[in-house]
Amino acid sequence: MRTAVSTTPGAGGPDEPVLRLEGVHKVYGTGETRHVALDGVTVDFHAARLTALVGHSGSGKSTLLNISGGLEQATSGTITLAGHVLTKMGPAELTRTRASLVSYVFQEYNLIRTMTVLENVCLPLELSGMARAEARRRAATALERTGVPRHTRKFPDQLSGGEQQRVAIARAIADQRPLVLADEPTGALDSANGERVVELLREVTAGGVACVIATHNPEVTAAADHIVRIQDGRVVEGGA
Amino acid sequence: MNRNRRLAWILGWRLASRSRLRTLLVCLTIALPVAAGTGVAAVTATARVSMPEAEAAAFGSADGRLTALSGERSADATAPARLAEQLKPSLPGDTRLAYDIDVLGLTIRGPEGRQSTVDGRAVNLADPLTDGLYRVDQGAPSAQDGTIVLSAVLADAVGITKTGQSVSIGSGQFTVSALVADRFDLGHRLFALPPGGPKATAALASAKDLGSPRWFVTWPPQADLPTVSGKLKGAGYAYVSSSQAAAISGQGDAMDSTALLVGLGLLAETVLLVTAAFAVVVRSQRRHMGLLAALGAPAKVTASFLRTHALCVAMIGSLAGIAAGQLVARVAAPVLAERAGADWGPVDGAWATSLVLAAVAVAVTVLASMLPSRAALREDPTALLKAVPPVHSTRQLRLRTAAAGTLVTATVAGLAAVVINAGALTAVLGVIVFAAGITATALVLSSLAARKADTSYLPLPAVFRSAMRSLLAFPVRAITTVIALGVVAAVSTTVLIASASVAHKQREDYLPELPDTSALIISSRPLTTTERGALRSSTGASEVSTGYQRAAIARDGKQLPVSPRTDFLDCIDDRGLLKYGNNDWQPCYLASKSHIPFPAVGIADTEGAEALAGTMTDEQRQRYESGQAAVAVTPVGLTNEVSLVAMGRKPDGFVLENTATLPLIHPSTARKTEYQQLPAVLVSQAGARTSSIIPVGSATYLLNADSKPAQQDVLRALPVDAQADSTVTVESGPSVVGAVARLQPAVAAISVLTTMLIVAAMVSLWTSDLRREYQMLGAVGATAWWRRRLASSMSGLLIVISCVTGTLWGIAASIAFLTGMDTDIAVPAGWLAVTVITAVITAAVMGGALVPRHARAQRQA
Repeated sequence: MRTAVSTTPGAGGPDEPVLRLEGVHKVYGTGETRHVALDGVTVDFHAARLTALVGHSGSGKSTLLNISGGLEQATSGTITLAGHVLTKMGPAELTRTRASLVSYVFQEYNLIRTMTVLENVCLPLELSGMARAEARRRAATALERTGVPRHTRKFPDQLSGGEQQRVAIARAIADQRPLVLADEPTGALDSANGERVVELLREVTAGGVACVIATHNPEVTAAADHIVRIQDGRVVEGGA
Repeated sequence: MNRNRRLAWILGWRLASRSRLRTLLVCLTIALPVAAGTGVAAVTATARVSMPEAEAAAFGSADGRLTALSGERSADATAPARLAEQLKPSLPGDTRLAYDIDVLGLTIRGPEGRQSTVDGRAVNLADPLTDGLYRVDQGAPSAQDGTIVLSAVLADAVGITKTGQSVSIGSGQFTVSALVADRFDLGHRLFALPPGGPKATAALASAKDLGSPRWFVTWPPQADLPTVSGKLKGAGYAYVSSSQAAAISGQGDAMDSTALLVGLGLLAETVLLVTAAFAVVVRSQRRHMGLLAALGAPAKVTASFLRTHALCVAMIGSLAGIAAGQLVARVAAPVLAERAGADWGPVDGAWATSLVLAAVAVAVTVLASMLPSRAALREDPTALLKAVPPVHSTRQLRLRTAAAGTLVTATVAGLAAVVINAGALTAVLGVIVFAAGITATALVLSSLAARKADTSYLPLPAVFRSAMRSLLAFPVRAITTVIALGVVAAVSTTVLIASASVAHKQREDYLPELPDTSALIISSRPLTTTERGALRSSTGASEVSTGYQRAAIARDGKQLPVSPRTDFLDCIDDRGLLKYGNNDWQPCYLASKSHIPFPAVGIADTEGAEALAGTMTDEQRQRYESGQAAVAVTPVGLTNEVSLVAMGRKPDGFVLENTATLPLIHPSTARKTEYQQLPAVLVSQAGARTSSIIPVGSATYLLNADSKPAQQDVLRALPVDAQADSTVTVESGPSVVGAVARLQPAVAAISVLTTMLIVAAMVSLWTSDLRREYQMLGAVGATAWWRRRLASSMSGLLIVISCVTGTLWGIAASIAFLTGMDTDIAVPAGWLAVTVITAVITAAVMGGALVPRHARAQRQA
């Protein structure tokens, strides 16, 4: 039996951030192989705001996204997501929290190749406990919003890269989770498809979602409401 | 259905149905052992003699048999009614009896004058007590005097095609009431004559000999058997309930042991093959597992999806395996039965065993999927999403090395126990050696390879070195494949050695009645040299031996046959009774190490002795002619000295009398095969005189030709005055004992083919697992030809390592098993070489052929 997780964006009121990182450290390895990926990061991400996370390769962007979504555990510091302190949670609770609060968009789309487009979009909805019929209805709506409504019965391998990424975004927005984390969502796309994806993410954000995009793409950065720059694991611009 | 379970089913089934090639290969790795197990189980069940069948063959539907203790021929042997009257006081009321007696050397003539002198029995097959003794193919046995039942082979020999036709015995005419077959001696010419009537009595009187009277018996419900047994002993009879059936049924034990060995090997093979296959499957799903975690799927959904996939694949593989195994059994069983010279009856599907095998395969597959998926689920989702192979910690390495050390110790202990001859435990230890040995070897290799896991995966100039480094770059993949293929090699080696050794033993033991190109002539009078020359030229024979006669001694007005003392005679206990409780030779034959049935001594001149036993040296010839030595015709069970024993029957048992002990000559050009119709030992006339032995019976000649001589042709080539009362035998009786020897090439070929298929499946899996790596190599400039050579070399290397370890452990396991079975080891080097070469070629070809043609720069494109 899965425990319901409150999806209220911010426990303290409308101005409260959806996601807050306070003094977050992430260290990989020990001794000679020790590598500090995040070094005392403190940053807020608010609802209805598109945040661009920028920095060089290896600066800690992906690590920050992973820790924010509960895919990795921080070495120290506090992460609060919609009033839930992720750093106090065990793996099972983190999984439940992800199922309720976090959506991901990856550079390589990461669709499940053995499921149809519709099934891929339905998957997070069903995992969060939604009835099948309702999940299919919402998935169809999300696919319509992202412009791939005709491909519901196809498998990901039968779609172009741009179409696959739009399906991935449909999967991320279908459940209306308060936090969308996107890791280089335009990295594998041509400029036209990249623009379409950014446009979609802006639409999603306008719906009240906090959207965090790790990117090197200047067009994405230009479209962002808020820019957080990371360098060597530290926030050098846009931090709290 | 629960939502999570439904998701798991969708994911699991789709993975199976969308990755068709991989699913096919994994199904193949499951299906092949299941098919092999099903096939072996079905053929074994079809071929084996169950206790109920053995009891039916021995006792019909009776409770047991009464046999004469003395073995003496009774004066009333042809008058069962009188014998029954004598027995009645010893039996409880309502006891039911059916008379049975062996009839030896009865000549039966068919309607076209074709005749055959055969052994059979006088028994009323219409009596319900004899139900099940034979399988009735045509007609129905009759109790009427003047009717006869023939075996199909005998009917064919005398020209009978259907029931209702007549045969003659002496001057009496008998109507054939039924044609029957004996499941265990299909090739035997036998007849059954309902005894008691005037015609049957007259016919029996013309037989060369009769056995001891026997009765099938069914007791009334309240019979006090110990008391009855005591009374019966007083009347000269013993009650036999199960010993003979047990002896017949015991023939199936060796087959069961072999099936058990094959089954255990297949189980180990299935476990490791499936584990290796699912290590590949789970690795291919690491990204999906990470993605599911990122989307919020609980670990149990992910685990359940892989379990469901395993279940789907295992069900398909197992069902396909059962279907293939049953099909093979249905095609192979009749062919094998024919080769074995037996009628195994309808194919027994051994469905229960098949289903157990399938269930085990499904369970093993599901377990095999759980282990790597649980290990993967313990990793961070981000590591899974990157789809990088897991890094083994020092702790894991230590644990693995410790496990390997334990298994090596267990193996050494097992081998030591074998060396010191742990007796009955050796077979069990064989299993330990087999399972632990191969696993330990693989684990040690695994530990060594894991230490090298950081080896760079950049190709070096030499393809072979690249292949080695590439193997070390994927230690877990390489080792799981080596384990699986090593087990295949070990099972294959064990099967080859075990079958070859058992075949060798059976060839040693097998005593064919006559070679295909020979005829045995029992002439009514001695033939002159001229007559033998005429016989040779008119039949196109290459050789007709000079005659020999059976040896006997005269005691109390009887002629007691003389035999060489072999362990066959050890079956006679201190009271002079056969230990097996009846007068049948078969249990003694089975218990005997020499397996010389009806051992006999013959008397022949030097020319005859050399024709039968092989060429002697001048010195041996001189010793033979002077009577200082005997010559061995059937050397099995005979040493360099032979004691000649006369065996007679007395009312209270047997009497054995040593007549002489002579040095035994084994001619250097002795025949390779032995004929049970020939005497085991020959002595010269001078030797016979020295040993007080006399020649008895008709002169017997062996005719050797280039092809199978026709019985009628040989008979017609005899002098006219000798034709009527002479007997010509050209029959080469099939032997169930020789079945494994005859089937060994088929077993070896099947083993090679199975190994080839499994190697093909495993190498395909391995190559498909490395598909992206080959594509990346293409992206950095490796040509398709270079990549193919790399893949071929890697696959070839894997197989060579697997074959070396697997074959060594297969040999160790075979030695352990065969030592326990008291069997000499025969290593079929040719077949082993064929297996290894086939495996290496298959691996190299499959490895090269499956390398993707296109290059891709991105690992997860």
